[in-house]
Amino acid sequence: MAMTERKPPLRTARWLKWRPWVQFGFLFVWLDPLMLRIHSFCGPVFHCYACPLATFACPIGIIANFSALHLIPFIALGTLAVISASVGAFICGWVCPFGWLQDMFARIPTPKVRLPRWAGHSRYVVLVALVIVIPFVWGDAHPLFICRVCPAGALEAAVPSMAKAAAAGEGVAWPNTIKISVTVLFLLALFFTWRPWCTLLCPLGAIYGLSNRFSGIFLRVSDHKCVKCGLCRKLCKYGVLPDKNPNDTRCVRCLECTKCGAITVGILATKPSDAAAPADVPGEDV
Amino acid sequence: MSETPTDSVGDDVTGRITAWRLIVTLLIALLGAGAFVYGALFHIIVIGGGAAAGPAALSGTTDAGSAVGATDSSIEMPEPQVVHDVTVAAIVRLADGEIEKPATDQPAAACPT
Repeated sequence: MAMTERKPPLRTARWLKWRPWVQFGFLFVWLDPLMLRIHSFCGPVFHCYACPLATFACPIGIIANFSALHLIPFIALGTLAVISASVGAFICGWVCPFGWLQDMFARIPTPKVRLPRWAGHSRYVVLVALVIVIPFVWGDAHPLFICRVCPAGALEAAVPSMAKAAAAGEGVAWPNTIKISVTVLFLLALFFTWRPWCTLLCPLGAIYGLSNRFSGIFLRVSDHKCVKCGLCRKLCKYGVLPDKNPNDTRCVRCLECTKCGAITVGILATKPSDAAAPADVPGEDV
Repeated sequence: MSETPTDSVGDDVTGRITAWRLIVTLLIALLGAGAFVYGALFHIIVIGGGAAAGPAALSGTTDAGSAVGATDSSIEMPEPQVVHDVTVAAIVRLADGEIEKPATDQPAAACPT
């Protein structure tokens, strides 16, 4: 087969400028502009269903609630499995409204620090402890039940609710101390690092991250094009070493690393784009 | 040493590992779809009945004030009571197939957080 007949690879870098707009566009799905109020259905993103503008229910809230009731959330788990198998953590980077919120804060020109690589594993502690074990053992009344400490719930649900109550002259029900503390720390962290919730604590991102190795859309490195310059590592803000493991569990699929030109998006059942010798496909693959 | 171009996923030009990925991906997707269908068809007993209550039971959550719980037939249903608060809304366990609304339409007022 002639090398020139090979289908050109995805030109990922061209997509990047659209990422904020894609995230913004999906807000019209999650923020319920049509007032559908499908709060009873599991959405794929981290967005509290108690938000006055929530279309769907938060999958993490569902899992935690079912754990507290000692039930298996088949439908939520099924939804997450299908999403994970198809697009995986692309949900985090391109679709999640809470990720978009953090991305917008990241545009504020404040000095930011990169969190250590090991920090990404703390999400699994949150997933296992706050979402599964604590609800299962101690029920929803435990102060560390995920919904009671979740900053997304505080910002998306509690704040609007408090504002509404205050505007109506009613008594304001304040969140508990832990929730306020977590939310304040989260808001502060927004100014000093990238996506602090996604990097450190997000249990949904932990689930999607697990699927990075097998999801239908993934990243691959072209050994032909990688010159070990380290640019991809500098571009990644989440502790991933894209040239060594582009499908790391910590990757949120922001695709910034693809700017280096050696990392491309692969789609299920497609062959590596650099099957041809580099000279055969000059200038492609970005 | 093989000179076959490889990448970090382990793919080679033969697509061998791509086939492995395809199998794993499809397997998990099928399991997920199966779990979804099983949950929708068999695991959920709609308490309170009616098509309107069905979707709410799917996720086990409820719109504020609608008071629909999700359970299966093995769960002993107590008298209607608020058993859970999710920030500002409540899941209410229902008894005898009746829909019992919370006492208030302002669920935040009942939120212990």
